[in-house]
Amino acid sequence: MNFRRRFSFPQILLLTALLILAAATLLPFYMMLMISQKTNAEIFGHFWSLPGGLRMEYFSKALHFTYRYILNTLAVGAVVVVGTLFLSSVSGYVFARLEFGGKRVLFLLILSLMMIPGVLTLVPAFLWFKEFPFVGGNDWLGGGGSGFLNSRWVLIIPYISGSQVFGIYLCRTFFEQIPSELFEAARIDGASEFSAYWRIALPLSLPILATLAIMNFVGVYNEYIWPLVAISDKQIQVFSVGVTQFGLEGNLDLGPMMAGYVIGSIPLIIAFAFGMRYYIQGLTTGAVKA
Amino acid sequence: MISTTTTGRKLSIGLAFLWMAVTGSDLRAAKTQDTVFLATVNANYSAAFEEIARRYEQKHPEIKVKLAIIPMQFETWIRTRFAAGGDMLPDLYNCNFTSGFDELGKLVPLEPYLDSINPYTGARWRDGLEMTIVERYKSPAGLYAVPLDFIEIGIFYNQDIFDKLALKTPATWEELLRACERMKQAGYMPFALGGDANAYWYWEVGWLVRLLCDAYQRDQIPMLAAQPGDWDYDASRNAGFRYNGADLYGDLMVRVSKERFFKAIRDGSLDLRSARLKRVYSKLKEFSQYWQPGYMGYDHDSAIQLFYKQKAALCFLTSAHVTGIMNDMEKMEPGARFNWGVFYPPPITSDPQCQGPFRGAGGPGAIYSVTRKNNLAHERNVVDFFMYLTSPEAGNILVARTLAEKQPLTGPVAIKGVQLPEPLARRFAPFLNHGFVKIEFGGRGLDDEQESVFEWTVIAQDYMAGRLPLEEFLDRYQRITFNAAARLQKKFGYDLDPATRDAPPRRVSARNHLNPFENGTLMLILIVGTFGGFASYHIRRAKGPLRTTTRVAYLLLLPTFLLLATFNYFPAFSGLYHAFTEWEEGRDAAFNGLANFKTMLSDQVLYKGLGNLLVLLAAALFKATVVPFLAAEMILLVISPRLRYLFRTAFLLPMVTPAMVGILLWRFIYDPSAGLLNQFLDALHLGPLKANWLGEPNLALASLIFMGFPWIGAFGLLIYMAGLMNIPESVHEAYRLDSNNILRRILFIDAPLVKGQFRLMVILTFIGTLQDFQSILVLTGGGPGLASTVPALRMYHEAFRFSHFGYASAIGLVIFAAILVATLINLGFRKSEEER
Repeated sequence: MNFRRRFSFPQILLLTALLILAAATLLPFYMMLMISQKTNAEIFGHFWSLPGGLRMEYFSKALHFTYRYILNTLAVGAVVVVGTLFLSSVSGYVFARLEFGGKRVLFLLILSLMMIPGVLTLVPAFLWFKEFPFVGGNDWLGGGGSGFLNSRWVLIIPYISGSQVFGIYLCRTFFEQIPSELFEAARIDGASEFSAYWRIALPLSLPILATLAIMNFVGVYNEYIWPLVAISDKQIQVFSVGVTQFGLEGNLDLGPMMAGYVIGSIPLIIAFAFGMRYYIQGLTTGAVKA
Repeated sequence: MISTTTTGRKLSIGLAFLWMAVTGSDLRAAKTQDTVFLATVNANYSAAFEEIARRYEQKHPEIKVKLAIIPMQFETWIRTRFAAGGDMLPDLYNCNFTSGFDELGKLVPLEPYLDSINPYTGARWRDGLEMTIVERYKSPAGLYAVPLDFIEIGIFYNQDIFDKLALKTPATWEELLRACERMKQAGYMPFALGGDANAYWYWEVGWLVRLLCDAYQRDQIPMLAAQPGDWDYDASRNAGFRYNGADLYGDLMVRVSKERFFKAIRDGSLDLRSARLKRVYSKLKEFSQYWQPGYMGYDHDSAIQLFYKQKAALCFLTSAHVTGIMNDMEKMEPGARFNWGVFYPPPITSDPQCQGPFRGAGGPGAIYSVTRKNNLAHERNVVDFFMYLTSPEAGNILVARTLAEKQPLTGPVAIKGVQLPEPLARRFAPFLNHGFVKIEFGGRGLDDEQESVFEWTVIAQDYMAGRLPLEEFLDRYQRITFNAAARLQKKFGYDLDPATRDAPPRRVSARNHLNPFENGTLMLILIVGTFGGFASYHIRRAKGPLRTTTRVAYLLLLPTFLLLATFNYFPAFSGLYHAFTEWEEGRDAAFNGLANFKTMLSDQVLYKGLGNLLVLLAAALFKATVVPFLAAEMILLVISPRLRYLFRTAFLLPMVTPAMVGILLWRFIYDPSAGLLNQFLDALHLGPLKANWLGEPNLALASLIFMGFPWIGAFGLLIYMAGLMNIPESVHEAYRLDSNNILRRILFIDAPLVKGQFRLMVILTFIGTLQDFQSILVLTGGGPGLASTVPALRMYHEAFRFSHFGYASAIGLVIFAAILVATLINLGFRKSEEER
């Protein structure tokens, strides 16, 4: 009975349709993997055939021109994730657990930032980072130098600042759900506000922080327009921008180029392998934003 | 204090002159400890420069030569060094990155030194240099730069294909076209070149246009040359100039007056709707029938790949590629190698309107200037090193070392007495002695002004694609040029009277130091002050233990709010403020009311972008709402839980590749020659449907929409699945009693129950699509022409290409307003739903 229901005609039809859709969705990525192992002759001659053999040298070749971009992105991503987690959880804790004057106004100020789209701030933010006083050779009016541009700070600072908005919202909601008895017990034991945060709130909130961390990391990894305009020094450029210029560096064959795409995906593959669940959770929670 | 230093400097200069008088008039170097600092962008010459520097130090133990190789971002680097000054500033550097610095008095005029003896040749410095090349870089202010080499363009051909078809290297343009026709009939792709916006600006199409414009119009130089009585007239250059079509170098020294040039455009004596320019653009179009199909979708690099892979017989490259190709051929597998050669674009002989053969369209390679440091002894040391650098001894080291390092030699060397080894001498020969393009009128905008370049590229691509008749194209170009001339006139401060020298508009700082939008320090103080004030108000109001809590709370919130105020709130308000200003590169923002918004009303690019955006938006809404909803329904209809999970994972899998890789994969899918889509059509025997998906104006937008097919986005899928799984099983069971029609159930039961999810997807898609230009920027750049441009991309171009920050902010503000309205409408909907 069960078997017949599972493989009835409509079910087979449905499964076939889904199979075709899944194949079409994954085709570009299958193509990327195949081509990363093929010579030019194989690509142009036998596009659909399997590669003639494993060509690990393509990966080492690709690694040679991708590793710097990837390391740059990872460095920025690590600092941003740590910074965002810290600021979001501290501020989220304050908004959830402390009573003080002006709290409502401040929280509304944070929430209203969710309404401001990147398109409004792209140009002014670029010029503000360029003309930031006393930084990067600038004088007090912001002239004379290049400010934060072309340094890792031009990525780290706005990423942390921007992503704590959603982070604070997430953490506050979470901390509000922790029974207040836990904190009161700690306070009776003489714990300070910070140690209540550090010893009780933080350990309990590890899942929500994991969500925040992976969403943040994926976000940083995929950012393109901002590093494109803010960073012109290849030495500190990130993967998203660097990858668009692979073909321009020497007479690069398609195989190693695709191998470079594959290598660039490895950090995300690792991140998702550990945190897919958290990421999905974050995506669906993030939907409340609208 | 100040007066002592000035006197001191005057004294030292005076003493130096005295010293010169005693030692004779030549400007020999003094024997004191000194350091010569050379900064260069030419990384290919780094090994050679190292060796030249060591040799020089051996000859002059008292001089140290310091080298800085800055291959990337040289312009920013050198400008900050100029700002820093002193020892930070190099003595010699690639001056083509700092146009205008000669007129600002930042460089040492080299003319006097050219007539002094070069101690490393024993002759005058000038006699050791190819002066035709040196003179080319003389600016209206004088001679400030000496090149080591120069880059010239050339047509590279596949010798093997030529031999197979018994073709000779063409001696005339007509022969070239006939050869192309033969190749085309034999099944070869005759010519491969880039046809994207960059190719129109500084690659192949741009080169061709420059060559043709000069060939057809160079007899007009006398009209534009500075005349006696003009402020920029230089008798040693312009006196007695007669146009002579046969003399390729005849007008080399002649100074063209920019003021006369703009005047001629403004008063109509120079018109683009001329018979000559009609010939120029017809020739270009005639030639384009031999370019690879869909060339507009190619950039320079991908076009060159066709030549490398022996798919195309000819391509346009420069002398800087010669050594590179020689090295690449060595590295290639034997079967992939081919014989190749170079010839210069041959002259048009069948058209009497054409003034003569094509002249050189190349540019400087390694070209250096001496920075002015007001220390004559030091300056002489620097020039002495410069003379050594341009001596045959150093020149030969330059060639030998660079080739030994397998680095490219960018072009023929401008130093006399330097021997190029075979086969390089033979390879470089076609690049020599073509003279230099003089008339820069009739293509690529006006005077390299970016806005006009952009506008010209758009209509030129439309013309080449057959979407704009020649007359109308030139008509529009005439208007573009006329407006650009007005802008440039304002920029240079010309009054269009060539007799008077006009001061360029002074950069007056209009900064209001009390306006926090124009004074960053004040803004920071305000931010800290506001938060501090707010905090202390609430701390003081709190009583008892509450006061401690409040204090702790504000202390803990301090970093968050300082960051948010400085880097999120301020840019947003700055955008609002600057939307009402004229704010351009190098100038302070000036309030101009609604002028930006008025400009927007007549901005054709914006209108075109708006049209495209509406199409993209309609498609995106369908892709984000309907498709993932149906996919979610399908997955949930699968009975086996394991298969259900498997399919869900399959559709989520694309998330693990970086977003940019996803975009680039689609660029490859659309690639006209190797791309998956065309291969797929081939496999299905649908060859005639093959197309250049991103390069055809009619297809570009559709291709952008098709991207991501079958559009089952991970986010939408998750949202709908979550929503559908929330529908109580009892609802479905109740329905099942009624009917077995699943489609009806999806439509009339499920869809209304996930209304909230639909609304969410609609609003998020709306916000996302209005702002997004990332994939457009990477895939088409908004082209061909304006075929795939959107308002957000216009904003990006206005800000980061034309440096019109005020106007860009205004566009950003309008997009923001649209998003805000949509968000508020959405909130209203949500509220009414919740109330129900």
